[in-house]
Amino acid sequence: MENGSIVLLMTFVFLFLGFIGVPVPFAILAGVLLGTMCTDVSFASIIGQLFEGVNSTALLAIPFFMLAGELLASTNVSQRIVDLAESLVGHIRGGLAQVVTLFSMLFAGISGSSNADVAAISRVLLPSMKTAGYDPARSAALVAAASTIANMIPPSIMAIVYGATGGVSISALFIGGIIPGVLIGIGLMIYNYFFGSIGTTQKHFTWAQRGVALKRSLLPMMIPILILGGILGGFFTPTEAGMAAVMYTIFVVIPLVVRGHFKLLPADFMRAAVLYSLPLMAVASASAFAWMVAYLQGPQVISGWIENVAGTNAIIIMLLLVVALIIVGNFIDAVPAIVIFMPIIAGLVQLGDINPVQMGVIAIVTLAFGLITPPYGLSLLLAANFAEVPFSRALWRAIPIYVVFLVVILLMVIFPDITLFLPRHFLPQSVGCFPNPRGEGFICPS
Amino acid sequence: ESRAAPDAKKLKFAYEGPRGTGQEIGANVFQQALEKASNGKMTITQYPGAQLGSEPTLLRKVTSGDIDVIISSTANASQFVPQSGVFSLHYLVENFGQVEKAVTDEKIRQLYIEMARQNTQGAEPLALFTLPLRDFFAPKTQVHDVGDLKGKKFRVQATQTEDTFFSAYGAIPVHMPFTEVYTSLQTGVIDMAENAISYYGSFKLYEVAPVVSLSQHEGNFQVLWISSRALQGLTSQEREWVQEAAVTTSREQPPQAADLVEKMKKKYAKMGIEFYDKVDKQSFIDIATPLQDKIAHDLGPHAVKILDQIRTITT
Amino acid sequence: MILNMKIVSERERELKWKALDPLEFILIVTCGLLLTTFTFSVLINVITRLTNTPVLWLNELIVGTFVWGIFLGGSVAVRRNEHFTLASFVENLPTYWQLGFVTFIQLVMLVTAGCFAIFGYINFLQGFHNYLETTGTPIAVITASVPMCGVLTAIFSFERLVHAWKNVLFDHRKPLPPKSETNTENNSI
Ligand code: NA
Ligand code: NA
Repeated sequence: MENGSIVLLMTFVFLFLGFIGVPVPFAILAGVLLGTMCTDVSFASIIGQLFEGVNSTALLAIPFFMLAGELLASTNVSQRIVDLAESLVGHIRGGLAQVVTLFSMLFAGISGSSNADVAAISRVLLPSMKTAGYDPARSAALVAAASTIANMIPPSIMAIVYGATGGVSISALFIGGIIPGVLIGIGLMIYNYFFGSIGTTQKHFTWAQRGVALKRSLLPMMIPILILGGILGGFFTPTEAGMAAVMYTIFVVIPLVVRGHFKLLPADFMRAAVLYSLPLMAVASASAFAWMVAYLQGPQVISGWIENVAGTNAIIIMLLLVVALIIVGNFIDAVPAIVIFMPIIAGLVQLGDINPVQMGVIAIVTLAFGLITPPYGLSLLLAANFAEVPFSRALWRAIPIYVVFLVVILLMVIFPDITLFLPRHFLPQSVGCFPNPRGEGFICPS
Repeated sequence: ESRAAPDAKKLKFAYEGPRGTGQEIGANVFQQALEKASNGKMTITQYPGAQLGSEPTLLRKVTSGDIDVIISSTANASQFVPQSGVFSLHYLVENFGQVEKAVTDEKIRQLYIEMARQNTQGAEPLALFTLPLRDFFAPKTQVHDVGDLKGKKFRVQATQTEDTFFSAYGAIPVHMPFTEVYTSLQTGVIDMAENAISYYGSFKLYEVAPVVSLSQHEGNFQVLWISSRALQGLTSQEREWVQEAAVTTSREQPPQAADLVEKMKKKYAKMGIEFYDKVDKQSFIDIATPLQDKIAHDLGPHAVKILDQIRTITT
Repeated sequence: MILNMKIVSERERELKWKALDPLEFILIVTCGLLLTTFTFSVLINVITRLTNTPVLWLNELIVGTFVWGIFLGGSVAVRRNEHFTLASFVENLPTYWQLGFVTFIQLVMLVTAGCFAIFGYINFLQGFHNYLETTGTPIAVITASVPMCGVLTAIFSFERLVHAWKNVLFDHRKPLPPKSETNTENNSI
């Protein structure tokens, strides 16, 4: 069998099994095992790749960011952040829709995946939006779109997986994602203002009331500062920052805010333990898929195609990759998509001499966009479930929002500064400069 | 400029180093030599840059027969052949000339093959070759003598041998994957690290650690492994061609690797990287030599034989 | 006892044997303990590094608990039906179509899990000749988690398969519980 046919077979089997309901890690692996039968590779080697795929120190950060999100949700401390968002933007045209967006941006600084965000927003805000007369399908679409910001503003599971598999600085990906995440948030707020639900706006809060809300949310809002400050200040690696966020939650937030929660901690740990295994099982099987694709020389073939179309023009290569990743994001989950496509992305980054941090952040935002596109849009599915509306109605309401994502992605491709300004400022080394060994400042070879 | 025939027999050849490193040179030399020896009837398909996994993974996949030929360092090989760690002894070789003597020495090659046969099934070594000697690097610290290592958090390869040497020098050994070294040097998680200049360059470590002290404390021996499954699939004629190509690699790769080092050093020096070449190596050797005997003895009889043979040919 | 069986998921009761509840309970408690050990090992690792007294074998403990947590958690998630799935149109099909699909899905799961178990076991045996670098422990100690995951997943898939048939043949209802009974909250990940 031709190499290309084997890759197509694996992909088809994975998608077919996935869409009839086989859990993703097993659907991927079933596809890979069928493909393996057409080659000289042994089954033992492919099963061994499950272990190789997760045997990476950089992935160790994931359990911590899962645990931190789980702890804040289960202690209900996230309500305080909602109150803060409401006091700040509730009175603006769009009302609760603006609150949803700002809350997502703030909570994104604590949570590493949008699934936790969808749950947190839905639980707290969807009921009041319904009472206030917002169209539930429109609310679901907005909640889903806003929740994707969690993947851009650090911490981000997608950035960790991207950095770990692509050998890119996770810290730089974290910081590079901040401006795009904020841009998506602002885009959504503009959308809410002009085209969104015209539900009743909330009352205007006084500055004193805002001060109270800020004070009440100060303890949880220290977490993003701890994570970012720790990484930028050179105290922590991303993994250690995650550990510090967990320790801070257990030993500071819980004793000061919800002391009664201590007896529930074992249950939180057990739930978080199962939660963190889910994306990582997907990483494990996706890495077996990626290994087979590399073994069958897929990256060389695809780089060849793209080189034929784009030459070595960085912008055209990036645009082609964006289109490819949008299509990929239609069908599969972002985390396995990153692992599967990394060999191809890495080849093209070299071909077009693209900054790996810029490409990484673009890939992350594009795949996060895939969370609200059909047929497989995990965030939109979850939000529609919570809002109790059919997926198709939520999808219809989501389509206008796509414009926000497409515009931001296009801007990121054209203006590298959107992704690289912050890393260049705070982590100059991650974009190609190095400290002057004998003196002050940085040397940046051009 | 490949001289392989369209229907040539292809071996799958994987290595961890990216393009432009001594490992790629090794792979290219092997490819050309094999095509020449077989008159185009055999060639290889290269998988560079850890496409099929890092070295520990590649070692597992060559022993299971899923990849035909791989390159691993002698240090990584010690996960299957613990006595392979003898090549990691500090100041076993003191300069590149001695390295070349060691990798082309037929007796050492035979000793290595014999040792590997007793410890592994599924793959065997074909030949030894080399990357540049390993040096120290740091954000600011120049190493004048062993005293400068005192109390430094030093990333070392995760083996007992490295722990022993660096502890003896007064440093604090820290283990982490090489991919983490960049951020850790940047954030101060570690103070110093060491590797061959080619790895230093391909991981862009000069961005965070622009001071290189040319300590040349350790050779960087590489092993070419072939899977038993691939060997069984070859005719005796084809095996001879593979052997011939492997021996050619031992002989022709080291001088090319040495050229590469000099080119890289010039390039980095031009960029502003500092190379300190007045390291008092003797202060390290005085500590290292007694440890060599002890560690080789602890590793086992094969290690002692290899140590003795290397000492014989380098003195 | 602080912990109780409440942590065992009550969703989709029609697809589970009471007799396997203790297994799920033991697994989930083990996962919690692994995550706790992992968390505090990273903490100690940082502290000892900062105090210039690094404990080198901790890295191997951290990786070990991390990997075991993934594969045990991944198997218990099969029983709790918490894995990511791409679609769930099967729920809306007529009874016998649904049974057909559920049977096919669970057979795929059984075959894949079987591969985990058999070939994972082969790797486990080979792992005794492959050593972790700091302590020299055979890597088999960690890779044993893969075949273990396969065996547990096969058990839980078999459980779902048998119950789907039992629901149709003996209890005259649909093979899967109606959607309203499944709690979306547990699905949120
Ligand atoms: Na986030
Ligand atoms: Na999608």
